[in-house]
Amino acid sequence: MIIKWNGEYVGHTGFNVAADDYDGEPRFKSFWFDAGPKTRHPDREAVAAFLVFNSTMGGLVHMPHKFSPAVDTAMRSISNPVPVVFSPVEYYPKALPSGSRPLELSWTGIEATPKDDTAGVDTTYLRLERSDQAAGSLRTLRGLTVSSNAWLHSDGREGCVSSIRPYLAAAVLFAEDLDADSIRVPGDFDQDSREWKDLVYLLGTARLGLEVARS
Amino acid sequence: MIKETIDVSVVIGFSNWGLARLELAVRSIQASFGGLRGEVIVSDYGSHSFEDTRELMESLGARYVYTATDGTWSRSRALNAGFAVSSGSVLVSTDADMVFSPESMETIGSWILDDPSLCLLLQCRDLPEQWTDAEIDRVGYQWDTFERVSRLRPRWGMGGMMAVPREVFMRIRGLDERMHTYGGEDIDFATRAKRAGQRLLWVDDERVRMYHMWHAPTRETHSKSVAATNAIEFNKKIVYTDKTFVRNTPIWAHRPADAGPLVTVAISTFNRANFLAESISSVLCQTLQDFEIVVVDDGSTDNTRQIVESFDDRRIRYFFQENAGIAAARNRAADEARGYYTAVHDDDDLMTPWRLEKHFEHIAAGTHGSFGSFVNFDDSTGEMKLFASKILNDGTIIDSGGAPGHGTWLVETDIIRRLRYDESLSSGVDNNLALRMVRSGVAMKHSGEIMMLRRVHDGQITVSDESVQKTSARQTRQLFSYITTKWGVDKLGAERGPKDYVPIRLGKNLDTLVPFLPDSLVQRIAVFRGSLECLPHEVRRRLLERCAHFVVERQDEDSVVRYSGAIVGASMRDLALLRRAGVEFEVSGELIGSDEGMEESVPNDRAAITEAAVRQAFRDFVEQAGDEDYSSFGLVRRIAPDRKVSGIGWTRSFTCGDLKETVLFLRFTNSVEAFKAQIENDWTEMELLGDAIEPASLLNELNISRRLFGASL
Repeated sequence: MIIKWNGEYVGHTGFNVAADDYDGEPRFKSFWFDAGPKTRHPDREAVAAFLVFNSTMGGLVHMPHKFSPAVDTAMRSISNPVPVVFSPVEYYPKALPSGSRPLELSWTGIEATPKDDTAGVDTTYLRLERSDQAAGSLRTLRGLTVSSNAWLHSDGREGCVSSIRPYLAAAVLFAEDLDADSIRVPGDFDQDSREWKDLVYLLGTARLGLEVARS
Repeated sequence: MIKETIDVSVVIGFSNWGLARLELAVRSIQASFGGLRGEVIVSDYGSHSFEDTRELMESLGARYVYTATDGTWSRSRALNAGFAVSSGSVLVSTDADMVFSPESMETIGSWILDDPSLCLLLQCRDLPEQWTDAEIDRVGYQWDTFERVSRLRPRWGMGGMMAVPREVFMRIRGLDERMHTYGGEDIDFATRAKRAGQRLLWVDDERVRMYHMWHAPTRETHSKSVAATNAIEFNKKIVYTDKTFVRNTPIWAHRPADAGPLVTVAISTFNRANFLAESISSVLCQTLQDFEIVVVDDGSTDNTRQIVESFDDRRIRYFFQENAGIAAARNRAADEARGYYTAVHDDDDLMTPWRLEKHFEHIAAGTHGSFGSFVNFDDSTGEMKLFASKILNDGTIIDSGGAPGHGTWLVETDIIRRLRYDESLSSGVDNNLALRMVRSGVAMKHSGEIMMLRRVHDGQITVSDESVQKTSARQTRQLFSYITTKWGVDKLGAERGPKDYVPIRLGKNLDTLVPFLPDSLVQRIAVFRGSLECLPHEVRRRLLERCAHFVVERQDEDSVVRYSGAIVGASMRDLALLRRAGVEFEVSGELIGSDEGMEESVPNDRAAITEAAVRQAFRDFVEQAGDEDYSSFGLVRRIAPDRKVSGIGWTRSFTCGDLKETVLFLRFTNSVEAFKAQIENDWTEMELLGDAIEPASLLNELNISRRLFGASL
C-alpha cells in the first residue's frame, strides 16, 4: 500500500492510498479534512495512517515520510499475524513534539464529555463534522472544528474500539497544532481489552496519551 | 428448537474420487476444529455412482451433497453447491486429497473470527510417493513424519485452501460458476475478495499444515483434451480480464438459502397507481432476477396497495406510511432494504430490461456503485429523447452542479443508510445526496448504458416543484464547493472535455427501445422458448392461451421439457411472467398506429413451426452432448410414438395443436457407427450431422437402400 499526503483541487487535504498485491481495497481511498494541520510530525502521520487503513494493510506499506523504529515496531506488533512491512523507517534520532494539555475529541452526533476532575485544567478540543453535512473549518483560540470524511471510515459500532480509530487518527494529526499531550475520547470502552491496550501502545510511540472521558 | 450455530464450515468439492482418500481428508478436518464448532460438507458434483460415498460420509458425520451434472466438472460449482447448505460464520474450501494437521481449522477459524478483514490462503505440502492414501490409512496420520518428508508445492500460487467470512462470500456471490473443468477458481475468488476489501494472508504457522496425499497426477489428462484446454483458457480470461468482484449475475445457480437479495429496488410512491403497475413490471422483466422490490407508499389515497398486491410476488414488499415527503419515504426504503445494493426507481418510470445486470459489469475495486443515462419518452406519443449523463466527479459537479438521473443509480445500500436523504428538503433530494456522496469519497462509475425510460407527463415533481428544486440544487452545490479556491476551480475546469462523456450503447438507435415503452404505446411480439413449469398452472394456462401458436416439447412422451411459442400483443406483465419462469425470449415491438404489420411476421404454418422447434432442440442436443470424442449426431424421424430408446440419446415428442411428431437425437463416434445403428434399428429416416464420410457412397458400398439426408444444421 502506498500512502501519500496531498491536497485535492476541490480543497481537501489528507491521505490518499493505493492498494498493492496483498492489501484489501480500502472502502474509501482518501481520508481528508477541509483544513489540514499546520505541522505534521512524521511519526504521528504514520500512526494516523495506520489507524485509518490498518484493516486493509496486507503486505508492503509505504508511508509518506520516514518514521521512528518505535512506531514501526508497534505497528508490526499490532498487525500480527498479518506480516505487514512498513517503510521508510528513520534510524537517526529525531525530536518528538511536546504537548501540554488534554485534547477533548468529539464528532457529529457525539459530544465531548466534560470531566469533573479536569475542571480548571487547560484543555483543547477537536471537533469533527460530517463531510456530507458541513464544509469548512473554524479555528478558535482553544481548539478546532473541521469538516472531514473521518465519519465514513468509522464502522459506527458503538462501544467498539474500531469505531473510534479514524477520529483518533484525526486527533493524532492535529495534536501538535493544538499543543495536546493526550487525547480524551468520549464513550465507554473496555480499557483492559487487547484493542484498547494496542491503541495506548501505538499512541505512546508518538508521544501521546489516551484516555476515556467518562461522564 | 434452537439451531446450533456453526463457527467453521469446510467444503470439499469433488467428482469420482477415491473413497479412502476422501475419508482420510474428512477425518483429519473433523479432528482439527478444536474448541470451535465445525462442519464438513462433501459436495459430490456428478460422480457416476454415489450411494457408497453418501453412506460413508454420513457415517462419518459429514454432510453429503450430490449435484447431477451433464458430465462437466466445475470446482467452482461444486464448492458453491456445498456452501449453499453450509451455516458456518467462516467458510473454508479445500480438496479431497488434502489432510490437515490437528490444530489447523481451529487456528484458521479463530483468525477470521477475530479479524473479519482477512482472506486466508494456504499452500499445500506434497507428501512423497510412498505416502498414498492407502499407506496413510494403514499406518495412520504421522504428523511429525509428514512435516519432515513433505515439501512445499513447487509451483507458487493458489490452491488447496481458502477461508473467508461468510458475509464476504455472500457479498461477492460465491465462486464464479462460469468457470469449469480446471484452473483459476481460487485465484479468481481471492482476487475478488481483495477487491471487496479483504486482505490476503498466506498462512505460515506451524499449527496449520495441509498435506497432499500422493496420487498419480491428473493434470496431464486434462491437458490432452482440446475441450479442456479451451476451458482452461476461458477460465484464465476471466481471471485476467474481468475486473468485477460481484459474480454469478444474472444467475447464481448454487445459491445459499440464507443469501439475501443482491439488489433492493427502492420505489417511493404517492398516488401514482396509474403508473406504478408498469413501473413494477419493468423491474420484474430484468435479466437479473436476484432482487427484491421495496415499495414505500407515502400516504397514497388511491389504489396503490391493491396494485402492488396484485402482483402476488414474494419479492415485492409493501410499506405504508403517513405522508412524510419523498426524502422520508426513500429513507424508509433504505431502512427496510435487505439487498447489498440499492437501485432507485421512480414510480412513473420504466427500467430497461438489462439495467440491473449491466450495473454489475461496472462495479470494480474502489467503486461503490454505477449509473447510466436515460431516455425521456412522451407519455402520449412515445417520442424519445436521450439524456446522456456525464461521468461523476468533483470536476463535473463544479462544472455543472448536476448529478446523473437518480433512476439510473445503483449504490451500496449501506451508503444510503449512512448518508440518508435530507428530509428538510421537499425536492432535489437525489441531487443533494449525490453531491454529498461524492464530497465524502463515494465513487460511482458510468456504465455507458441507457438504464431508464423516463415518462414525461404533467404530474412530475420536476414540473410542479421546479423552483424549490433549483434552490436546493444551488445550495447543495455551494456546500460542495465552499472551500474550493479559484485556483482549484480553474484546475478542475482544465480537466473538462470530451472524456466527461462516455459512449452510450444504443444512444444512436433509440428505436430499439420501443418494445420497452408502456403497453398503451406499443404492440409487442414475444417469442419465447423454455420451461414454464415453475409458474402456477392457471397462470401458465392463461399465458399459453395468449399465444398465436406454441409447441410443447416432451421427454419420453411424459414430462414437459419446454414450451416454445409467440405471444402477439404481449403486455409487460406477460414479459414479467416469462422472465420469472426463466425462459429465453426475444421481444420486438412497434408503436401503435405505425404502418408495420407485425402480426404478419409471425408464422402460422404448424408444420413449419414444429420443424423449427425440432431443429432448435437438435442444436441443443449437439451443443450439450458434443465434444471432440463424438463427431457424428443423428436425428431420427418418423418413429413410432411409443418407441423408447434409452441410454444413447434423447427421445422427444413435439406437439403443436393437433400436429405431433416423435424424434430421437443420438450421438455416435463416427458416421459408420451411425449407419450401423440405422440398419440394426430399421430407422427409415435419419439425418446425420458430423464427420465427412459420404453417406451415399458408403451405402452404395454396403448395397443398402436407405433414405438419408445430409447435415442440415
